Amino acid sequence: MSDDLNLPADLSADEMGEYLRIYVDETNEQADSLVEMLLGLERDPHDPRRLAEAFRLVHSVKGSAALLGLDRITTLAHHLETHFERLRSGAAVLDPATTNVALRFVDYLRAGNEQLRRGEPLPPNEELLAAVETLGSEASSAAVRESDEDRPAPRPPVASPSAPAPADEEPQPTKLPAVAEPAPTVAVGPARPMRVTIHFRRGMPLAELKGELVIARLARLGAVVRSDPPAGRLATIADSGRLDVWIDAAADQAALREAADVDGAEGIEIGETVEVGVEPGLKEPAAAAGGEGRPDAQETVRVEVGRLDVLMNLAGELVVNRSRFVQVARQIAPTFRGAAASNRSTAIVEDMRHSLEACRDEIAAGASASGQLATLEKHLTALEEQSREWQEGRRHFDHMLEAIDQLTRVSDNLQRGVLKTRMVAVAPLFNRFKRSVRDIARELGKRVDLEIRGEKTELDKRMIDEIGDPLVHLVRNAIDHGIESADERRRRGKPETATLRLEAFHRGNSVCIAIADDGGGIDTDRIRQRAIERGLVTAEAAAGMSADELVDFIWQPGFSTAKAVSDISGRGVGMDIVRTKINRLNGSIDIATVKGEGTTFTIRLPLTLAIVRCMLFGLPHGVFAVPMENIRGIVAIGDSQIVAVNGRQACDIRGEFLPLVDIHDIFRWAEGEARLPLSGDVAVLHSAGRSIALRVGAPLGSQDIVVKSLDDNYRHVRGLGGASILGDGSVCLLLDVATAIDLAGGRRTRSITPQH
Amino acid sequence: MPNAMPGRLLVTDDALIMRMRIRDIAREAGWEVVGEAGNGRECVERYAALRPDLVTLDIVMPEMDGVEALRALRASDPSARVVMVSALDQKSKLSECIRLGALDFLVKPFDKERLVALLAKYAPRPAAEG
Repeated sequence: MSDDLNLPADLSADEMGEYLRIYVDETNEQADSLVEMLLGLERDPHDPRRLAEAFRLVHSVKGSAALLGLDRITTLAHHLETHFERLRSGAAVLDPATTNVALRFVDYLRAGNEQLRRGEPLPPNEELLAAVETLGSEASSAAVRESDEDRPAPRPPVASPSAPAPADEEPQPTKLPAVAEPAPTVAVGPARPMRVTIHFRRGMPLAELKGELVIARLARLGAVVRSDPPAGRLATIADSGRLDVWIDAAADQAALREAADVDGAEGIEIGETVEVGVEPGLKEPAAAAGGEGRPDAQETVRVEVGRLDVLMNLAGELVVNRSRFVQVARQIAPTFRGAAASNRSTAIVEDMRHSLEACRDEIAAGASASGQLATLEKHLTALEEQSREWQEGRRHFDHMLEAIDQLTRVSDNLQRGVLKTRMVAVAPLFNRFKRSVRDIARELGKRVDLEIRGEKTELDKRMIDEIGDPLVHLVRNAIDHGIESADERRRRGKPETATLRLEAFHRGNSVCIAIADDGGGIDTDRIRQRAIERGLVTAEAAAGMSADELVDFIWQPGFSTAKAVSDISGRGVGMDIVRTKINRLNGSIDIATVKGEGTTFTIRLPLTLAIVRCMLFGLPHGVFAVPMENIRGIVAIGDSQIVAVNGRQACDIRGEFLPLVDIHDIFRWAEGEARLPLSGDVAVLHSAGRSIALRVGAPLGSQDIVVKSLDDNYRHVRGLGGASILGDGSVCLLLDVATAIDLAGGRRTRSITPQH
Repeated sequence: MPNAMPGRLLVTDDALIMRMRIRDIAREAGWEVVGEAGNGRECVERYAALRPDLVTLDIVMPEMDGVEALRALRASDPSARVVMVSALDQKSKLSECIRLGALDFLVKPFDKERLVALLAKYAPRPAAEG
């Protein structure tokens, strides 16, 4: 087996990179589709549409892999394709063993693609190869003879063009098309048999078909009398490299030569001499008329996400710049907009005009003040001039406002446009679960139907990439812990087959993904017991906790109520990791659970990672932005509302006691730092069902902010989700509310494994 | 021999990567790739709109396979020039395509020079003689 990273000789390294990327993307999609077909076929193994599509997908993967010289994939796909051809023709029936082998092929293909992405060779696959090779070996061999495609290939599947052509092909009756196809009449003349000899390139694949092709093409010029080798034995051309055809035709030598000159023909001799000179010319295709009929079909282009990131960033910068314009304009506005300013100078001008008149009257009365008068007049003219300039400036200012308006529209549209190019449907992500749900359920001996809804809902591509792992975890959890065994379900009077629903939908400016099971719900008694055991809460405190508060414990690092750590979930990757990951995406996750009826996890994600709608607050240390998602309200509290609970401050907001937190408590700033007054505005922040009241300065209004990663530009800071540049050029920090609540002790947290 | 004028090519294959490969090679060889089709139906539609000089046609494709597409092409335009580009194991289908009037065929996977040679063979030549 060749090294799978050997470039085909005629591909440059650059080309190879490009092709590999396309190959990986395309075959990953085909892998997804193939899994869908396989799962559909599991229900109905005879579905001809799915069988044909599965065959086609495997065939297509084979072709693409062969193009890149990926022999391991090509060989596997070839064997699989052969077997699917048997299935398609009815010579064999799809059994679970075949499905499993095909799914393993998909796994290998995907794993291989990951390797290729990293520039590493494909892993060995002897075991899988053996499994694929034996596919259908037990199938009735009598049914396997229908056509040559049906036969398992007795030779290496990827015959490179130089590889010897099969010599063991059964002679196949080659049908001569002479009668069926009307021969275009070329020239009229005395017909006499001519011998056309074609020398073919040796070892050409499908040489017998080339022979067939030559005969068919010659037959259009006249009647083919006979051939050597004869029609049924054309396969020998592969070895001999020669075909003779006797033809009764009125055509001249050039026409015959042209007809015989197929790809792979290296020399042509025409046995009889005929007059040369007349140029009948085989029918040339009608030249396309003019330049009309250009392609207008909607074609698609694949773009690296990285490039879209760059565009997104630039669009973001543009939006920031636009805000800057708006802000500057707002600052200039009073100068031009204030009616007072305009009136005042007009008044001055008028006053001066009056005093000038008065002056003139005095002079008329006899006094000589002509010098003074002239000066006054000069000033007046200057002032009038200035006033005109100001009017002019005001007009320009109005134009600028229009331009800013226009800029706003364009930059908003640009941003929306770029956002839109990044949006992809969640369908491929969801569909992947058809397979894993089946596998996990089978492994655990449970029966689970997956119901997918809203798969056309679109989400930022990056988000889709990131949300996969948390979803897998939640789905595993749901099947492993949420859904009861079939016995248990029967006892409870539920259908034995459980339903797991995966649903995506829009909620305002966010997209929600719900994972809902109809299992037993979360057992709060067990949680209470575990929490006390682990010392997370005292027995007395636990006794007074609400169901929601108890359920919240599952977000604690390392918290698990599972009786036994199963192979599927509970590998130490806790729900806390899931939540951390979702928080990183500026999303949130909520749980709704009803004992005996099931649990629903709802992940709420912003449409995009790049832009977050925030409320800005001026704090003594600068401006902080808080995602609107996380704000329940902004309330002014008085001293009377502040109480101490267990030595910590809390405040009573409409009967709800919330921890009252200062920004210092979140970031552990030194005590000496400036603090906000005790009473004043607080923002009620919430995440995953927990809330705190954060002291904030005056709210500065809401705004879309373009988030820049702190991790990339500085380093990760717990409690901060990023930074952004405001319209006035200053930097504001984006609060990561979920982590902030943890850090502020929204509830007592004892980090077992501190992150970062 | 004078350079043949650039031919207008329509590339048909369900695999993007295969279309890219054919397109890249054809362009380098001086062809104008006027369109691409991902299945037989698209091929027939685009052929009608574009009237290319030559069509490359894959056999195993979704919706409408290459055999049906060839049948439709030749029915609508008996002078349609089509070369099949297909895998080795589609022998009986290829044979059918030959009967249906395919100009030639090339077996996948192919070397670059093979495709270049094939295309050169079927490049349009100036129709008018002095």
